[in-house]
Amino acid sequence: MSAIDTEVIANAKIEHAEHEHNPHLAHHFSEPEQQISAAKLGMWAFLAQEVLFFGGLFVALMVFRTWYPDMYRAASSQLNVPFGAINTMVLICSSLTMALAVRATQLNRNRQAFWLMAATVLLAGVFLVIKYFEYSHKFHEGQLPGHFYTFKEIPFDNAHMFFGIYFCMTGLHGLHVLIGMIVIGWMMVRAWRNEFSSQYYTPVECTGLYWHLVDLIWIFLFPLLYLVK
Amino acid sequence: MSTTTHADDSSHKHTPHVLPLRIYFGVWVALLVLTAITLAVSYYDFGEGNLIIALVVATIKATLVSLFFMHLFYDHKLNALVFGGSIVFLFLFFFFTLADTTTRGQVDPANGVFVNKHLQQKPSDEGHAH
Repeated sequence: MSAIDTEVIANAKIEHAEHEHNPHLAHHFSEPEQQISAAKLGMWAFLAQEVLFFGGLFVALMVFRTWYPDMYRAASSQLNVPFGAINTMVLICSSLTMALAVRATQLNRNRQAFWLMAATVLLAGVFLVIKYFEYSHKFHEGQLPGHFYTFKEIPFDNAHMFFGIYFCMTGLHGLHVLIGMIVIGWMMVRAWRNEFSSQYYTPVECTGLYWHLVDLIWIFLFPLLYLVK
Repeated sequence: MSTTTHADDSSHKHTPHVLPLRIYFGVWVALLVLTAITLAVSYYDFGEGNLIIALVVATIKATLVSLFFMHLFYDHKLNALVFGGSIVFLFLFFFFTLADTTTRGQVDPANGVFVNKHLQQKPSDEGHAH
């Protein structure tokens, strides 16, 4: 390291000490922009992992669909399309309220962000309640995976495979919805405490990114499971 | 070595990119309309076309959500590269798996034809659990 560099560091340290330090800027980042980019890149890497994680189940779905198209069609017709369609609309609305909540924190409106996230959690709750009604109907009818399958009205021996895929995919997605509700609830507490501002809203933004991905997965699940012809 | 790191006040300020409300509400309306289209199309039988239409509409919806709700359109392009990269690998996963599973079968030695036994599946007379 040259003498000039050492001098620059020394000067920077003096300036740093005199400077009013941004309370949200960690010391290993040179400026807020860099810190925000790093956090978001990390979140996107996680979302890329989520795509591949759900991808395995989507591939399994397509393999069974191409192997047993008639069974798949017959089993799929047992799903409740209106419930699935309403849930799609509910998740799209929750994505809107979450996106608006991020915007509210960008504009220093913590209280508005709180209520928009409350609406998001409420809509997520509506989604899970509808899912509960669908699940309880399937449990009642015996439309279940593997040897739990006791339904008689689908004329294929392997219809339990469809319900295996159905419960794995919607179950894993439902778990993501539940985790989303918990994380958004945590962000609501922080918004209520006025912790966010135009200078610091990364946690809300990353929570929003996660929530939109949960919506994205449902956007593909709904037609592939419910609307097969 | 950056000499401007802590030298000026402007480097300590972050200016959020706030989108106008009409973008959020416009995307929301588009998503609801596209959902209605998917639903309406499902009541008609286009054979394999149904799956293709459903996937195309779902892809348009996913693109709208990621570009505007997730801000990818305005964001650092590296984020789009990471997310797009996962989609590319998902396609590779689909392509090579289905290239195998959809072309498995046996050659019928008597007639010399290719038989995919999965496609010959007929409904059983009555529903069985196994």
